Amino acid sequence: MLSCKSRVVKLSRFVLGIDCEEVRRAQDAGPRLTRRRRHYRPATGNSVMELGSYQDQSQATFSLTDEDHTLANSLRFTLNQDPRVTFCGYSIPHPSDARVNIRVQTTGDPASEVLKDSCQDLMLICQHVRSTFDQAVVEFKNKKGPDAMNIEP
Amino acid sequence: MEEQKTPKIPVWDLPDVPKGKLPPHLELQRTRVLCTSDAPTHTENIRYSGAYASMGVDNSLRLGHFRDNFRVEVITLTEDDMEFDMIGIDASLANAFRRILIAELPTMAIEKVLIANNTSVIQDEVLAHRLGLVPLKVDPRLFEYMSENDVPNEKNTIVFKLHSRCERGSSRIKVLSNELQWLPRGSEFTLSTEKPAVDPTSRPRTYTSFNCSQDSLPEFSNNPIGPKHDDIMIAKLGPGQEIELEAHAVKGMGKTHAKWSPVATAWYRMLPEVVLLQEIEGEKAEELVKKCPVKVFDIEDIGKGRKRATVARPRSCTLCRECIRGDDWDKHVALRRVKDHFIFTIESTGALHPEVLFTEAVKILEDKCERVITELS
Repeated sequence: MLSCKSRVVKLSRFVLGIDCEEVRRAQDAGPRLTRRRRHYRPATGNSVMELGSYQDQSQATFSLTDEDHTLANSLRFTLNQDPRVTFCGYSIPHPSDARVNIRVQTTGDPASEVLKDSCQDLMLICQHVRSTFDQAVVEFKNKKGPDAMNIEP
Repeated sequence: MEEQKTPKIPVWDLPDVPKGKLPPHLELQRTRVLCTSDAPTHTENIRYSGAYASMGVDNSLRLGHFRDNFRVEVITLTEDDMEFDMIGIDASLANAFRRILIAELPTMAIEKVLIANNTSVIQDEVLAHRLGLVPLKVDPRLFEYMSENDVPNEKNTIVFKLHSRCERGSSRIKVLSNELQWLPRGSEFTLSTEKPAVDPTSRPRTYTSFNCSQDSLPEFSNNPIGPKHDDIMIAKLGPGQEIELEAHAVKGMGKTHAKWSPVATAWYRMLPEVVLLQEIEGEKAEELVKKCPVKVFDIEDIGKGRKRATVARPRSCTLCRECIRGDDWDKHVALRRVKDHFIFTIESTGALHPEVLFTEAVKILEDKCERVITELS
């Protein structure tokens, strides 16, 4: 039994591709990292990881670092409205990891293309929201302007 | 009770379900949250593109449709507060904007406090925390983030000095935020490890390395940096007590610490909709008006001494559901919320105007999308 158990452990380490040495180093580094306050800032470098297969590109999980419900829920909204998407959802595997996984399954198009199009849609929506909002504020200020003038003696 | 008999009609004689349009009960479930006496129902947003495919209704994203229907109406706008209606947008986006406003818009706040002397009863760390929470009136877009290896310079740090003493024999004094004095040339405390300079004309090294004075920069020359409010109590000093410190403010985000949040709060609520399902007249109308604590209903004269209840101020409804409690009031009044109509309120802490904050929040969401696109291609 014992040998069997140890095999399982070994196997899972192999599957995950984590070196024991690495795990130990990560654990050593742990407390030192937590002591420092982490300054969040716009992330640079590669932070979107696509987990899928080469055979079937129509389904993949995208792992985004330094993102949370803010982006993931908005993307789920635009993805779900894309007729090419058969399934989409997101999860945050652990609350203290700044990471979100977005699952996209499509009718055949590559999942990454569909996700990109959804991001594009979301950007267009945002641009429209911004211009509409700015216009409304300008209108409000113009309308308010003459009124404010009347109050003054 | 006599059972109602429905005449038998062959199925092919029934009228066709109209294609391309949702039947009214589904349309109601799609666009409204129904607030029934026990719990709200139909709270979910149905966003799957093919959700209504069997009825010939396309539920996919139509940007043109969005553009035609999206509206913004500003209700109030002052220096610090703003209320506006955002109509025709999904909750996920309204919530994204709210979350960004609270946690991801940068501001400047005091992060490091160098205490030279503190003989007051308030401990150093508590004092530093209180200083951190003081809102500063400065545009964060003019500054850069300071990362771990950066040296504090005029681009990423604002330095304030606070020196307050209560003389012996006098009565206790208050230390208010207006005593924070901006030092545009940077820190005045010299590094203790530094050897005395060989050249006496060169300035000794301090805790910051400013290349130029901040007040020589065009953005600050006529607009000195300081706390937004002058009357925030920082500490109280008894006779003989003294505080001497330097506070360094840096750029940060609300998700690191709430002191960097640019809003006191930002929130939204869905527009309440109050519908009278039947005419409510006479005493019952009086009762209804009396039931509502926020005075949503009014009484209207419809001639011949008859009185009828009307919904006068649905916006002020808090959905307390007092009006549908008891008897079968829920047969008379229906409380609903409009799913795509958000009453959005932003309370700024003073660094930026609320309308600027919202535009910046939308820009941040755009940047996030752009980041994903560039990293995928």
